[in-house]
Amino acid sequence: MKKKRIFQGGILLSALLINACKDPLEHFELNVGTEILHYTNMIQVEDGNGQPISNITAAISGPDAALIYNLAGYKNFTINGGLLGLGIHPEHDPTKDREVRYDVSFSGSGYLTQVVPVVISEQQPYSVQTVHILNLDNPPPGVRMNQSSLTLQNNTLLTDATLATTIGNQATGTADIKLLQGTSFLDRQGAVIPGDHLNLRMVYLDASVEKALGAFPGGSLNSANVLAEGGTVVTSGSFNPAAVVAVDFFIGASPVKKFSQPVTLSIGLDAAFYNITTSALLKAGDQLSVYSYDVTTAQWQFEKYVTVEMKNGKPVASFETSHLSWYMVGNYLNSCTNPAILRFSGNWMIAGNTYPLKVEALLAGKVLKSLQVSLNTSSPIVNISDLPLSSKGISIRVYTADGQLLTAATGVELPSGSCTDEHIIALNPPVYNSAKVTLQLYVRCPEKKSTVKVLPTFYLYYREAKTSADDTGFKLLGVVKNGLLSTSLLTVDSKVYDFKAIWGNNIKYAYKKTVKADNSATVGTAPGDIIGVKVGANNLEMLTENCQ
Amino acid sequence: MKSFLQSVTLLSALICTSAKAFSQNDEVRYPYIKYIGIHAGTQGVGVSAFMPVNTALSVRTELSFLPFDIQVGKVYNGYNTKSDLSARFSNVHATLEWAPLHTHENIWKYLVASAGAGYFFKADGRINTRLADKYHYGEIVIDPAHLGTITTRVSWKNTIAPYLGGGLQHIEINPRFALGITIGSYYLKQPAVDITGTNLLVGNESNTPIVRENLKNYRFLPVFQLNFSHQIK
Repeated sequence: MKKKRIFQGGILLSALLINACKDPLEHFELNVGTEILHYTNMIQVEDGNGQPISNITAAISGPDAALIYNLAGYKNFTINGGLLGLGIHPEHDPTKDREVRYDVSFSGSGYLTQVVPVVISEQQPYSVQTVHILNLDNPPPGVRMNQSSLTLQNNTLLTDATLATTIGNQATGTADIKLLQGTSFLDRQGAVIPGDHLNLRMVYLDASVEKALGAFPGGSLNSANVLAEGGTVVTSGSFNPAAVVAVDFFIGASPVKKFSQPVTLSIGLDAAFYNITTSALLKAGDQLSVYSYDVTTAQWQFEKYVTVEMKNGKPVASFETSHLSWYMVGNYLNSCTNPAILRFSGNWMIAGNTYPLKVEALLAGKVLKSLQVSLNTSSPIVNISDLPLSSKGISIRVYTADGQLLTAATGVELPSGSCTDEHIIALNPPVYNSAKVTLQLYVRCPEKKSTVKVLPTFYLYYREAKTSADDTGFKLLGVVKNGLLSTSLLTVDSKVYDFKAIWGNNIKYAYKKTVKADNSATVGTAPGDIIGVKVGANNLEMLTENCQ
Repeated sequence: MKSFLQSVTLLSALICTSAKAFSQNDEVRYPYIKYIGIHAGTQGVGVSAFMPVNTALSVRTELSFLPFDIQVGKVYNGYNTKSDLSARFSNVHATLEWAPLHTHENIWKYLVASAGAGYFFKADGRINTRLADKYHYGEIVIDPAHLGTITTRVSWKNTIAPYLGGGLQHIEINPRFALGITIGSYYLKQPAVDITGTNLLVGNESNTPIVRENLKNYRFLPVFQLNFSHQIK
């Protein structure tokens, strides 16, 4: 009996000791971060006149298309508020030795289809680029267009015909295409397309007008998909265009790709064109390259050389062609195979502040490539792919988000033969009204006392306040990381701003807000929290969904 | 502190009682014999030495090592998780053992009460927690290995901890070998807690106060131990 009591006592003691050892992680509030996508790319879709476009469709293609999702993790690429956010599958992030490349095709009724190549390098977790889709009814300055229709008999032209653009809309040059009597029109396979009407459309881009070149195929003057002269494999190259035209013919809904006999294109060239080949302004007798661009493959291909002629005192390039596409007349340069590394320096940068900058690579006075970046003192490096740094004449020009120039107007020239170098770009100090404004966002899930500790990372845009019906003029303020952003772009108290935040596939607006030096707010349902008044129910739904 | 004072009081009582017992009977063989031994139990495995002080009181010293690893599955905040728990405890330990019934000719002559302290030169616990299931973000399926790990480190290192216990010691198998069984507990200082997260589990450091609260009662380290001793001259 005594033994039994001792045994029972031992069991009780053990139970008490073990009972003290409850699960160390009991009530652990495990949170998974919101930054699922490590690499994202925000594409701002505009019509070249500053108007955001949403009523067109986007499709992803290219070598890494399978890795690309929208910011909510779906294969649904809808443009919302003129913005298309894309992310890379987090298990396939770019590495030092491998960039992620894909093409985004934008098309829609009334717009010229544009295929934009996107390159994401290891050092570019966030990137923003603006794509200009040419609105055929409202083209930007420097763009002229002509559309007409010709009658066919037995699927051939009855008489010689010419389609030409005219001077206007800041375009100082013209282009025309001459078709000969008896020409029949063929599809990609070479078969005659039957029909009794030929619809023609010619678009001319004046290469001297920067906004016109926004509609350049691919959205920038360089490409990693070029079949250069004598080449059998694609390479990376850059163009210095003296003029660009797009010619599209249709019979019914069928696009014409070839002709039964050659047609002649005459393209007016930029009179102030700097010919890189001769290192001089363009003159009669200069040889320029003609490259064509196939929008279905997003590939440039060398066609021929053309000799510049002077007609009525203006430089013109005329050549025959047997197929239709975009044509670029100008210089071609081989680009580096690895991205250029730019390290930005400026002792005026305040630690912790985010600086959204527009970085432009210039070649012969033209913007070869433009991208928006979000920099800070601990992350001052930007990679730019496909720059022709084997040649001289590339320079880097930098603007703040509010348009202040931080370099010389001609940019900082990069040395030639420097594909593998890191280039230091010194930035002049901008003028700001408030040195540092901090925005801190907290999130409190419904029916929780404490705020969540894993805070959202999202793109934030701003503008000086306008009416909510007007969605134009938003500029990147920066990437809000873990709910925090510090900036010099906002002015404390005296100015009123609108904000636009993109989190996953959601866009949230906050209109007519002033800011203090330190601004913190908690999104939630508790007293004192903000849930939003415009669409509070939707906000609560979003909050609840993201708190699950 | 209160517990420590109680321990000291009990220890004093043991010494006084045993001194009295020694003076009454110095012919009894047990527990005058020196032993060395090995042991295994909840504080690990190790070696021990036993030195008699008088007829009822002896000093036991031990060196113990505990390597402990286990995997457990739990649900936290709606997420199924897998946690790898690992503990590494190493200590030296000295106790006074009092055998109040050593004059009996039955099993109770082996009964001892023990009091002393251990110095933990290593006393760390680590819990590596990761999600057990694939994580779905839209149509993206992410392997838990890419989501990261939460590492919770708990440390009582460099602690001198009082010990109280009891059991049956020196149960003779033959004149040279003996067995023992003890149960007791250390009283540790409050542990230091450190949490770090990687990848998408960064930010869970904010759970440190929760874990610290859970561990506030992790001050009793229970000991259940078997030992096997060999007599030395």
